[in-house]
Amino acid sequence: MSSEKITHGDDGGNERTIELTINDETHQVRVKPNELLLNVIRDKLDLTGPKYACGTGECRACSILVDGEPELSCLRLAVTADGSEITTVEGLSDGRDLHEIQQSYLSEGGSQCGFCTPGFVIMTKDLLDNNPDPTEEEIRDHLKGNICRCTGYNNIVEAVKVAADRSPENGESE
Amino acid sequence: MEYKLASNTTTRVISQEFDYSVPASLEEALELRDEHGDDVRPLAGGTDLLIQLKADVRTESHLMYVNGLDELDDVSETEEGLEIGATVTYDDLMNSSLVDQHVPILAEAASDAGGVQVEKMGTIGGNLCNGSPAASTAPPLLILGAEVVLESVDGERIVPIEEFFTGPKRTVLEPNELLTSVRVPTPASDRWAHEEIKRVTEDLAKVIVSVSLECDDGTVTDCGIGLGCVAPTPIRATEAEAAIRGEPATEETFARAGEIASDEISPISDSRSTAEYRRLITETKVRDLLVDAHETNV
Amino acid sequence: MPKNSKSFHAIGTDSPRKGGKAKVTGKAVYAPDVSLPGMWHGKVLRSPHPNATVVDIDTSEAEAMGAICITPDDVPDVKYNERTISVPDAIYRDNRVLTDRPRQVGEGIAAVAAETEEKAERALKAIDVTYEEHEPVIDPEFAVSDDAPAIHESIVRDGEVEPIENNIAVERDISVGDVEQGFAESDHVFEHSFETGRTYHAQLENKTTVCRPEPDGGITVWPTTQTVHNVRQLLGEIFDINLSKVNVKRLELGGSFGSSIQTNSVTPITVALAMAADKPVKIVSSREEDMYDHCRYPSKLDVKIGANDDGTLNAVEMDVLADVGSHNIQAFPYLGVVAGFTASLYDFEHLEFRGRAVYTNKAPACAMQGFGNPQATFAVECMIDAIAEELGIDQLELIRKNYVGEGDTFWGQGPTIKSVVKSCGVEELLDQGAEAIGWDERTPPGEKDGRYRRGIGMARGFHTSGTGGPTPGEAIDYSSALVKINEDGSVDVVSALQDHGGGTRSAGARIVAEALDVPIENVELSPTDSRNTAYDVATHATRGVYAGGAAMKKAAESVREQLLENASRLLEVPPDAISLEADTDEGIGRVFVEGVPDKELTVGEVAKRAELNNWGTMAAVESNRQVACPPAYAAQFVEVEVDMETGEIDILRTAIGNDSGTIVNPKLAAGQQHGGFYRGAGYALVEDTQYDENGAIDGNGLLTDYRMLTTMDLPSNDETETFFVETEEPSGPFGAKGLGEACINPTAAAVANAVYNATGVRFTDIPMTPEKIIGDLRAEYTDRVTGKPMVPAEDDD
Repeated sequence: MSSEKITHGDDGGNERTIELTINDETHQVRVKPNELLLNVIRDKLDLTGPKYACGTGECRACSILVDGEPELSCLRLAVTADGSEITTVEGLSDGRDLHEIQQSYLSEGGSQCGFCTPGFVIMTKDLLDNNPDPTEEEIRDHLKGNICRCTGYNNIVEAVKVAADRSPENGESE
Repeated sequence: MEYKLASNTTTRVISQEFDYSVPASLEEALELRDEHGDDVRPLAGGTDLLIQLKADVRTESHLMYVNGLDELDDVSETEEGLEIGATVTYDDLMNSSLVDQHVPILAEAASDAGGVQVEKMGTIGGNLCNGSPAASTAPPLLILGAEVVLESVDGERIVPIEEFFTGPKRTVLEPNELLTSVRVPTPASDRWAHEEIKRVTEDLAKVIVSVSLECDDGTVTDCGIGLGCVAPTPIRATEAEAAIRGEPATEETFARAGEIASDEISPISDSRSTAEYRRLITETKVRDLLVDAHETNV
Repeated sequence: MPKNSKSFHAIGTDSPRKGGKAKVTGKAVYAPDVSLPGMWHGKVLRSPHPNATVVDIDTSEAEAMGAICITPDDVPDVKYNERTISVPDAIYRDNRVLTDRPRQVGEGIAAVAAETEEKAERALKAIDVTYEEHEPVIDPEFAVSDDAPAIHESIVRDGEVEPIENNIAVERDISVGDVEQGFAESDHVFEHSFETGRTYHAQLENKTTVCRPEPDGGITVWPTTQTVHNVRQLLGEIFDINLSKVNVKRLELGGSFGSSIQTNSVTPITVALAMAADKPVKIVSSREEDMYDHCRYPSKLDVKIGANDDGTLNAVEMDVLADVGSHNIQAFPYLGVVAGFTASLYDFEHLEFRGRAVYTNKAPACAMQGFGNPQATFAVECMIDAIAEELGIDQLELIRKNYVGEGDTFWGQGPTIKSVVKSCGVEELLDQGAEAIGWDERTPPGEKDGRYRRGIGMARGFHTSGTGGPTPGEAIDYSSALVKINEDGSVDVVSALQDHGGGTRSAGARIVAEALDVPIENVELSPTDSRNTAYDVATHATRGVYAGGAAMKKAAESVREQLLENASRLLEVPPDAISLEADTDEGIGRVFVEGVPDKELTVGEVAKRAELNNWGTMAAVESNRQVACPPAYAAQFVEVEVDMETGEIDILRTAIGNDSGTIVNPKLAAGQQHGGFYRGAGYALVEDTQYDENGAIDGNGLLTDYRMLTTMDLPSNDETETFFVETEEPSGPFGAKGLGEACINPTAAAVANAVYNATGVRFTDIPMTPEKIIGDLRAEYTDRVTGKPMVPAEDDD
């Protein structure tokens, strides 16, 4: 096993301890400055929802919320997120109860292979948190950086519309 | 970057190791720069720098994270216009009422920079210091006559943005300096237009065109034409600008500006477009955008 | 108008897909998410040169860093083809786990494993390789010239070494009737040349493998794949391990589009590394490695069609030059299907096909959604539009007069697979599409003016549902499934059938629910691997529902018989007197005798009592080959707007219609239509990987260099109309045919025909980037030149 899995002990070499609150759980994590936030979340905190797919910010499958703002975890050093509150796709559901966004991606066929879905769900949360009743143009603009190779986006757009309709802000929550 | 694979790099990890500092103040950051020079690299949004570190096209021994510095993240009003801190993000530019009031073209340019996540992460200082010919904010800043503030422990110097870029990935920033803010004068005219021409909506640009226009009684009294991706640095099409000052504000005049602009650029062919197309589109879009700017109700 | 009147309880309903909850919560496990205790991470050292010989590899420094290294000397000396689903005679073997003779930038030379990916990467950089460089062969036209250096001296086919001459990987000529006679009898002969791009699959999951060596000498493998059984067979062959000790796990697959029909190159490398390290090893390709791993077959197609004044199409001649890249994964079937798709689009009496597939020093081409059909359909459907215009016949009428439809012989999957069409919705597809787009209001190009010009175009196409047929053919095509009723009446479906995201497995569950008359909620799909399932060839060729679903249906029907037998013993009536019905409100399957109120049980009660009576489990495993591969028809209509000055093309509206027989998953099926159109539009307008003279992908070789259409570049939902014409395919499970690939095949031609209708300029080289088309558009716009409309090559009048 990698010695870098240690989450306590002395500052060996270039490692340091950072604190990340992910999906409301706080972790002390040992990281080196060159470690990407995406890899720390996936490999050290075992949350494999956010995905690597391009490594250059073109696909946005690694999108997460950092202190409420959508960011690319593959283009952020973990050390720079020390003290941050992070939300990944795993943080939306309440136990086994799906968040209305997840529910709508499922019901509308907004997820096919599903590899891009964690990024789209996070971006949808960001959109609806700030704009509970977006137009189609606003939905498409907000998601323009995220690549889905399967759906052609129609059912994703539909899922966002349905999620907006289902959101408590719009008074149609089940 | 000759062959990406020649060096067997990977975008999955950063395999080079470096020190990391978080200066508590601008003063501390400047001291670090003074002590280490280019051996300490400022890291802000990281959307360009981290790709370069992954690809090993840049080797760094020490990064200092400047995104938390209060001194750098403000947009404030000055006598001439605005002072924009280096770590102000694209998203800040898009949502700032001051930017909207004084230089809305900058908000427009920020909205083309790269989609929501990049808008949240990318900073105006990072965008400029990266020195890319494709920097989204550079063409509007060029025509606005902006200046950058370069600070060191020895003080500050003010450099017109036109003199800031010296070549691809190269600027006049000295090893002991930090770009701390951008000063943008409020333009005299509200006539402007901006467009990034791309392969698809979310992409690095093939060509960026920013124009501004002042007219008096149907005559062009002043104009600005800023261009990206058509030369080793972002440039102003100064010959085209000069050629139409004093001319009637007509489509023919604007078309002539496009023709001249397309002659004074030195585009290359790359994976995004061809040199030939870049010339053609520059000609067309300079004309189109001047027409748009002229038709703006002011 | 649906032709299918049967009412289903599971098929055609909109309940969420199986496994969907895991996907939307980020819990679904794809190969890159697999992590094992004690696992090391591997990296592949890849050639920076397009054509070279490795003179020396020095791994000492990397090994001193604690890494495990393997070189070409450390892997089995087995020549293989990574795609194993054809008969031996059709498999061209020219590949090796690691090579000392790299034939493209990015080919694997050596590999390292270390405790972390970062350490592996540093060790990789410490390996010193000395290369002798050779002149690269980039252009396929140059490749076949006498001046070109040989990329492969020889290959192995069916145990025999065969020399390669002029870099020609495969030549394939197919002839029907007498094409010269056909042209001689035609009033007009039209010809034109087409060129299609080097599209990259850009599946979001980069190719990945995890391998764990087992104490018994076997291996367990978690790969990115469309087929666990073929990965197992190839690994067994390369590493000489009994298949019973090679277990390949089926995982969620993050898209594929054909890129993982073959065993991926990282898979045997990972196995070799894991065996050398004697530890579990994981290799996840980076995006830039993946971009050098695979692409669609770029092709040049010279097409000649003979037609009569009345619109009868008599003869077609097609010359194809396909660029296979560094390895011949499947060029032989490729050429066969390009001929077959062409022959099966229209009822040509005479056909002459000459295909050549040539090696170049670029990434190897492989199947990509449509496999030969997007290329063939682009060429033929653009010709049809041009011919219709020349003859003064409406395009839809020309199609109606000539298409291969019900009762006609069809050989979409190549000359060895012929069958007769039994279901066809082409007429309705044309009618409904024309209505949706406003075909009758379409004006000719000559009536457009101004800078921004709008045009409407359409194209028709089809894809085969699998590669089955009455005779064995060149490709293996069968599936297997185990279905069993659990002791509470719920049902397990155990199948190696893979799902790329289209909902194939979910559709299979619906088919089983329908066949057993139990609610869909009671049917679940078991996790599977190559050890606990019988063979399934692959999810490819649009065969998942039609062929994979048919195997599940066959197993379910067998279990249904057992259910009726057991119920007969319990209810004391003959099996024929018993009815089954899914009670979707109560979530149970009912077993009852019609009109006899006390003779009623649930499926769960039957199962439980069978268990208590020790009657055994109601279960069946079946293999099934479909004896046809019926055409799933498609028609697409689009409206575009073209900026005559910039060459920018905007797709404004589309109507996408498909005849896929019975629709099993309606929302997911619509998703296939949207997705096919999106990738087809990208194929038409923007997607391409160009190589420079040094054999490197233009630009930085990152995804930054490969753009795909975004949410903003496609018509809005209101402007996207999708529809199905539901025919009933007698050979399909509950009347279903395939769908996926049919949705991309006509798109490029529909877009190109719309651009022609807008501008009067016919573009035959895709993608139609602004850079490529601006010259011709401006010439048309400014009237300096008359443009380049297609004209008859010869006129016999």
